[in-house]
Amino acid sequence: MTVLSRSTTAAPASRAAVTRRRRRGPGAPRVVLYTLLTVGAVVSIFPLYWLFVMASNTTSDIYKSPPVFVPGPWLFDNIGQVFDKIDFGGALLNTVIVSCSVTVLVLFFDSLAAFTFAKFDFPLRKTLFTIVLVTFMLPMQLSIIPQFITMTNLGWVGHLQALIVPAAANAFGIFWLRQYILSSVPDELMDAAMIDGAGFFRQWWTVCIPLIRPGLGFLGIFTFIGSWNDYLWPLIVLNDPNHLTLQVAMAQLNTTFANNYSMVMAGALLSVLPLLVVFLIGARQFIGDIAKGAIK
Amino acid sequence: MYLAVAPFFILFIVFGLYPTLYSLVLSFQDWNGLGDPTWVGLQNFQKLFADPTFYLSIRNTFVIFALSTFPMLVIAIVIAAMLNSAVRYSTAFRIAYFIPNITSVVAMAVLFGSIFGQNFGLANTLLHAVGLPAVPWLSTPFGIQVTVSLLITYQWTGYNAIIFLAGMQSIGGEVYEAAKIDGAGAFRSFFSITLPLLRPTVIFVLVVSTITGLQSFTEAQVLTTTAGSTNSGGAGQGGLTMVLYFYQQAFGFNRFGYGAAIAWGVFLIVVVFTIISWRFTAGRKEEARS
Amino acid sequence: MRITTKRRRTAAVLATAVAAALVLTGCSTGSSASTGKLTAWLWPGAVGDSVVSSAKKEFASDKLQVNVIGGDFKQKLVTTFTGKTNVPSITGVKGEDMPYFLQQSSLFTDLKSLVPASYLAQFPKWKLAEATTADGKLIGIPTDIGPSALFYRQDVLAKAGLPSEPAAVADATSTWDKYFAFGKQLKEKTGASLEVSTGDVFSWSMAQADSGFVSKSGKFTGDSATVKQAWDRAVTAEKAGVVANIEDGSPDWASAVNQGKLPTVIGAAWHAGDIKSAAPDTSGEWRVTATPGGPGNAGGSFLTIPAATSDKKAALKVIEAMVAPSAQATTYSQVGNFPSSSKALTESALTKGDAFFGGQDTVSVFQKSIESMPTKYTSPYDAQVSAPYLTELTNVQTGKDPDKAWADAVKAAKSALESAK
Repeated sequence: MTVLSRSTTAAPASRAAVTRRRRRGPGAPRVVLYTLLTVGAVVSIFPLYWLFVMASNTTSDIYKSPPVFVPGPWLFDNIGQVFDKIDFGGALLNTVIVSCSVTVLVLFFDSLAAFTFAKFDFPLRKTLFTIVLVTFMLPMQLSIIPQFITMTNLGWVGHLQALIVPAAANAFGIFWLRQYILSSVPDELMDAAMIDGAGFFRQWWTVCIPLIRPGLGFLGIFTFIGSWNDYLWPLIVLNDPNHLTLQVAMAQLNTTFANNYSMVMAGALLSVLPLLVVFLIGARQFIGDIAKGAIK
Repeated sequence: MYLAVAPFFILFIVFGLYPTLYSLVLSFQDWNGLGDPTWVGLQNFQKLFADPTFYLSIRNTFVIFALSTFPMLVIAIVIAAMLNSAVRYSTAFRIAYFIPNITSVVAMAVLFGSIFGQNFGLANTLLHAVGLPAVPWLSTPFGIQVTVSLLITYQWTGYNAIIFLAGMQSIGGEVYEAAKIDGAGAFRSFFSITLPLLRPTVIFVLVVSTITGLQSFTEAQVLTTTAGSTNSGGAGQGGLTMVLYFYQQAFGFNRFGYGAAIAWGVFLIVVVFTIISWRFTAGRKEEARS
Repeated sequence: MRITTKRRRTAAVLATAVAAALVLTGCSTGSSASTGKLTAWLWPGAVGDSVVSSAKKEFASDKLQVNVIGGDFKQKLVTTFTGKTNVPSITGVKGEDMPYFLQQSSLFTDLKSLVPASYLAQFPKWKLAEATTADGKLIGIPTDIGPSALFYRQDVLAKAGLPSEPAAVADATSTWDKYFAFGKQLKEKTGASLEVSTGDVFSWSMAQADSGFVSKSGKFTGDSATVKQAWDRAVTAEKAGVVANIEDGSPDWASAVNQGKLPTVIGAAWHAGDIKSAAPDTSGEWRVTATPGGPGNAGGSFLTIPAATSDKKAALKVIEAMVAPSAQATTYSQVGNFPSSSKALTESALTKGDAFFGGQDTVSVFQKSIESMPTKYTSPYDAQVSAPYLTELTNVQTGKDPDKAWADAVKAAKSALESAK
């Protein structure tokens, strides 16, 4: 906390540095700038280091005051216990299945719909799009209870379909992609494709999709992370203790084995790792997509 | 053409429109999910208006929202400004700042629960080291709200900083050159050029943060659910956000009708407040122009 | 515009991905309870670990699966009943949730139809009554009962120069006022706290009382003299500075127990399990003695068979194995749950001392508690009606005026009852 407040109060200096750099000013503010940035970066990453420290020590080490600051030798021991106590691998697999399926479905359906709204005129277009906008504003809690009842009637409570299917209707995605298509897909290309004899789906696939790749990237990442981190709905609907997603399994670990704290921390570390690894592999692409996709 | 939009609309009708309408119907009923529902008219809403715990949850939610959103916006813009001018290691910095956002939210909540532990947590150890008294982070209502806000801020600052950065980088250098020629100083340049041109991005981030912040659930629920107390928001119910209250009533006490009423109450509050914050930032835009 | 081969390939990949997504949504990776498979849902500490593992072995042919579920157990159970899938064959029901489930008795099997009266004779009548509906249906078999005691660290007390033998401690803390005076001395000499929170003081005072927040007829009694006395006591504790003001069961609590900052605590018999799992390194230093202000009654849970279970006889066998006298004795030695069956009291595991408590014969302390503890009616709305009191007590901790807090608590509790009915 002290660190964060330091970076805020030092803001004026950095703002001066911004403009001064444009004037190719002295190097001293550069040092301040990079120091602040580094401090901020350390603050961002430190909790993960701390998680690692706790996951590799014993519970009594964690409860000491002051706590132990360096990693210990118990990491694999604790990780082993995690796999022993809950079906972590299963939860991870379920989460991957759900997140991937949701992302693919959302990208597919939303790009089709957005493309249609953006580039074609047809009866009821305005009405339907207004409905989309309204949906976008409705919070999910409104539909949770009835959705639960629907799942009960379909017999889907406790199954992954209950997570995947409702999430595939993502109004935000349609809204977003429509904006993107309007600004990135020129009508001339569409006309050219039509002259070449391309039908609706071919136009969508060959003209639209390649041009909105960054927008799709942003939406895909956003959807994937959102689905990965979804907690409220899975908490309600996944009532089979043997088939959970990662977030719910992690919450279970925290409350069921609260006293084996170092193991709980190991579980937390394990649930953070997959997304982190994927991110680090595709980091440049990720951030580029978000930057490009966001400003449109 | 209709085929293209059909899948979305089918899904939307089944999982979006129908549940919303049904939940409106439910809010006029009393049902525990097991027997038959009984029609009670406006009674749920009357109870809701008189429910002190509901008002408590609203207050809690807004405190958490204020504590997490406004500092986050400021810090995110500052970080974006710094990243904008840093040329070296820019990708490394961006990755570092973005990392908090791609961690799993429940795991981070558990982690923060241990960092902000009263007798053993890192936070109090650091405070102790600089001579400050230990803070009862998770044992008082306000402490819980601060901890939840810190968690939300931690997770979203970097993400929003990257978005602001993208916005800043789309501002052409000519604007700054022109300002320099006009004699604009450092601060003037930032406040008169960068911020106003960033306004659409700020509005976007603010609106999204408002909508998601007022509906926060996960952080509060995980931080305050211990073996002893579940879903009640922790000490003094400080962590009982509106959606946590909804969850407690609808699924903890199995009151589907009342839960639906709470959900509609939350919706109205979110809509009203989002419109207010939209008007506020859009209004300021008009002032800045004149 | 021709589609290039690269695009074709990407198209194929994407099409497969979409198809796979649709297929995956169609196939279920969760399996509902199939016949021939028994599932049991318990919470951590419901029965001893070895009871669970030996049950799994004994009923391996029935494919018994035991799920230990933490968090809000009642919520998960209720959601499952409502969702109608994955309903377990056997489930535990916590003592404080039983009043709620009695109102939904159609969800459960009437156990009187499955067991002879002679089997039920080993359980206390008042405990069986807690799980019996108005028309005589019995929906749960008691696993344990919850007499209270004062748990304390004899080494911490001895180091502070305070009495540390069970009889001496009982003497020094026989009334609440003496207990608080004891706590003040403890605070002065070691800085340690007497109790976890004002909420605990309040709840235990209520557990010692003969009446609750809501009467059997559904009338609000949250402003009665009993409740006010419990409230005043909690406020006195806060003013005396003897409470630690942390959440019971939280990591904060666990670390305080480990560090010796919470050397005394009033708890039901099952609390021993919490202490044992949170602070295993302190084994041998704990003792139990009589509760200040008289014995209280809190907790004590049941095992039930949901009505949806297909093989009720097999489910009953599992329950009988888990509450068999020897099993109850094992549970006591592992997690401290006091046996519900009179037959268990003669088991050797109970008559020998408990190493965690320095070899003390803890059973006799609890038995004495049982002799005079109250066995009053608990309303299904108890949880919602009592919540405002606990919230307001926390506000008193942070400086609110106690009288105003009391008035607000009563007002909120009244409206909680109105709203909940």
